[in-house]
Amino acid sequence: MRRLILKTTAALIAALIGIVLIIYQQSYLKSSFHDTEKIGDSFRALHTDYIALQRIVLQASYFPYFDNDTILSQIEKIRERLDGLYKERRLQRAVYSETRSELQSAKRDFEGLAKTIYEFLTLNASLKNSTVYLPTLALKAYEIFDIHSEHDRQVTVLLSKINETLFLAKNALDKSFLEEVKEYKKELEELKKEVSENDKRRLLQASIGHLDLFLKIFPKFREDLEEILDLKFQKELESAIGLFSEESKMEMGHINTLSDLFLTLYLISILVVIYFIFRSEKENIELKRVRDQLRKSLVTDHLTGLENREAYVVKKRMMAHPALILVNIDRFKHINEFYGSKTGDAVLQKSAEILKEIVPKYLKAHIYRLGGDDFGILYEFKSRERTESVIRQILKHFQEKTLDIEGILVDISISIGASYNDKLLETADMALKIVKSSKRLRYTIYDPSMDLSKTIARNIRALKQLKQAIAKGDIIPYFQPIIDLGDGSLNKYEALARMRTQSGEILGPAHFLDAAKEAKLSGEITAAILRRTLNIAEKCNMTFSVNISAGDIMNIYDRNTIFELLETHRGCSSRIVFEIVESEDIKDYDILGEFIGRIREFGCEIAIDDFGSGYSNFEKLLQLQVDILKIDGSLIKELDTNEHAALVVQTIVDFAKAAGFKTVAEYVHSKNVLDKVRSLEVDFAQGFYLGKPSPILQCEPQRDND
Amino acid sequence: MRLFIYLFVITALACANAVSSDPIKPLPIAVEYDRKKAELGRALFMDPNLSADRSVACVSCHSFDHGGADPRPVSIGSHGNKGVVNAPTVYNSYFNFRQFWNGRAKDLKEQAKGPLHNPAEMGMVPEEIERYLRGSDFYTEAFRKIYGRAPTHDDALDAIAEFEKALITPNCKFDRFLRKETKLSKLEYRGYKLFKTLGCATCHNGINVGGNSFQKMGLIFQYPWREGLPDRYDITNSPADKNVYKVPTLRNIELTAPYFHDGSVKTLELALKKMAYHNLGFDLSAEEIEALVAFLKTLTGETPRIIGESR
Repeated sequence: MRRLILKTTAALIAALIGIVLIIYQQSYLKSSFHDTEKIGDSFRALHTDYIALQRIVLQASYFPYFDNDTILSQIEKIRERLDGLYKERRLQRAVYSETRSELQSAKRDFEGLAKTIYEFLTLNASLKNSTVYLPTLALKAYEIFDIHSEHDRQVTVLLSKINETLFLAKNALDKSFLEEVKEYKKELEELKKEVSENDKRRLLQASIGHLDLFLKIFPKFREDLEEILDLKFQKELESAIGLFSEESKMEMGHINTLSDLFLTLYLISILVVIYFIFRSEKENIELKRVRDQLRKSLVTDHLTGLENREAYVVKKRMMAHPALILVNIDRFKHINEFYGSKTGDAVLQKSAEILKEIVPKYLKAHIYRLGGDDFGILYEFKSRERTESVIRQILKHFQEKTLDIEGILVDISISIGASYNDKLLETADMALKIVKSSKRLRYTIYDPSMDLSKTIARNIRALKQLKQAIAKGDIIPYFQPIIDLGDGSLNKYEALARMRTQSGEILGPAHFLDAAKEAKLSGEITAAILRRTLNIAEKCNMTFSVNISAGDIMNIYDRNTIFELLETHRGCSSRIVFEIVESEDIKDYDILGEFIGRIREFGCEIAIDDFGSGYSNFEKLLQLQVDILKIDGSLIKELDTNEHAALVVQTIVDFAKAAGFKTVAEYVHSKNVLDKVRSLEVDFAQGFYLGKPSPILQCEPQRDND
Repeated sequence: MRLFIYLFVITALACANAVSSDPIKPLPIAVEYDRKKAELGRALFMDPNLSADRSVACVSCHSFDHGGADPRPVSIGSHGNKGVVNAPTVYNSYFNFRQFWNGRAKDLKEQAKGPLHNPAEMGMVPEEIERYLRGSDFYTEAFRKIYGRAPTHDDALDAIAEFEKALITPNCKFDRFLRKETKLSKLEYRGYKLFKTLGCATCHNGINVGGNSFQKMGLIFQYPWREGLPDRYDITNSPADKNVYKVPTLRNIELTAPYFHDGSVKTLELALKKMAYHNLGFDLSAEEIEALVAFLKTLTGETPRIIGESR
């Protein structure tokens, strides 16, 4: 699990890095293109602005008057552009060092240029001042000078020539005219010498002053203008543009290298992811195969190849109305013992094959091996009829079937129990058990009336409790007094079996006797009661009657246990009376006779318990030489009300007297009954009226005072 | 040769361009400025406590009654110190390409430092100014509101510059003429034409009718020069820069007497005569002067609104 998380994280990180790199690269490229474009635009705008500045300067030089603000604002504009470019974020990168240094020198040069332009503006104004004002002076000369005078005419002509030359010189920016201007100036100075009038002298002085100014300023003006119109700065700009484009290409190269790297990384990350997916898928397939195999082996019975009980449980849960036919091979234990388990296994395999073959396909049934020799056929229930017909088909196939197992011919037959109730397997098994215990039935379908499950559960519980009680010595005798009706004395007790539970509760035999008989434990109970009673009889000089079943007597082991007990308590064994219930269980009267013969040797007496309840074989009784008849309680307790019962008891008493048997009346529960018993001349009586069973008993013989 | 062709082409283009354009541009009706800063600037501008002896304020030499200039030939600072030049008008100074007579300050904020710190003028040091401003509840509160901090020397300069930016005098008759909202009288128009043909416009042009180049006083006939005057020579030490000054604006010129950097001329007529003599080398006729004066008077604009409001 940790490895999986690690791998997933690694793959995710790889993918994430790839994505981040690509996004970064994209945004980087985008901003690069954007910046490059912006910077390129700025350069182009700068170039345009510069050319515009040159044009404006030319205009300023050409027009007699001009708004200098336009030049100044253009200079400011270019200055800001240069500053903006120089401070451009992108250009701060190392790769643009040359562009930057070129820009810096351009900035420096532009400042020089601006200075030149300021100077130009000063010179330009002065020059224009003169070029505008000299013609004005020439015009004034016509007013002041007399054109009829040769000298004055020369002055006016000279002034006109001067104006023409100055115009040419200035507009053509031609230095070669300066020599002429100088000549004219000299001439003008010569002519001035001959002038005496004040106003004429002033005019000539002003003109000479302007000429002087022109001569002084013009070369510098020309120089400045040429410098301004020179292409040096323009070339510098072009070079900066060139450098920028080169350096930006270089940067793009870096970006592309970076981008290739990113792409490679991204591809690697994808490959890593694919590798992990491939790996995990492969592992998954392998795991799935192993899991399927494991599951199959878990749910398959290896011997027959059928599915096993686990599979049955799973499948049944998924069905809406499941029905189960339980097929059991009769006397399989016997086959196994007789032919060996190898043959037994082969029988099972063959039976499985036959079942697979003969179960109709339309049933869409699943066949399981549910236990040793139990096969289950599970399918969706449709009708009882269908189930019965399938069962009959199966039975028909197996009827008188002889399997050939490697030459050994084995006869097999089967029993079938089926059910479509809840607790499918249990109920089908119950049905099967009924078939098994019957000689006639070959199959049966479960019916709720068969439900023995509750009894079984109770029996199992009682049996468990009983076994525990026997083991712990919790089977104890309670003693009920038996009164001699002749003299009213008490010198007999009946020892009644009681079971002490773990919680200390005392239970009567009704709670455990059936279980004891079923589990063949009644002999042990008898022995336990006998042992305790004998121990008490040793100390207590009374007669004790102990119940013993025909089953106990028939069992040689139990019989011997009783003999041994009597043997070890020789001293008191003669005071023991064995009460035997006369019943169908007495199968062998010889054994009974023999048993009675043995115990007589110990001095024990024999009583027939519950006499008159069933059919009694008087002849056998006589043969057995019993001593006491205990008249059945159901007759006694009705004595005072039921005339018929009294008649029966009377008959029994008469018979006993004739035969020499003593009689005991049980269940004497009232004075009326006791009186009746007395009047019928029964010898002894016991019952709740006379004394309840108790663990404590009176050891001294007592006489009834009445 | 190339130059000629270039010249020719450009000239042709420029002619088409410049036919209708006058060398003078009208002032904008209003400029954008930060009102709160400007009002704080106005208070500072009028506050004599910003001078060493608490006798002079900015307004002492840039009088609102005299077109933003000083009616005295030279300004008189704290402790009665006399300056060397006539204070130029503060009106429309925002549109000058540089500040001071020799253009040594590049903008109004830089300019404002000059008189404040000049011992001959207000004679303060930044620390003194800050100390004073921080001692004042009014300024402390005002600066905190506007600049978000205690008063600083730099913020004070900024406020003053903002106020000065607002000092424009729009809608003079000539501006309205340029905008074709009115006509000039014949005399005024003749004056304008003379202004152009005599060469005045070569230096006095642009939005401020000057203030956009340095020019020499006394091109033809030398103007008296002495050491210590704030001309370009004071900065460059180039002999050619002697008596070279920033061309002063001619806006509101009828209000800003006396004239010239030395404040030596009291009337416009005399100023015109002197300019013609020194820079043209000739005398103007009485008619020419009359026309030029008429034209110059059309350059008188409205009192800056921010001053009008304060009154």
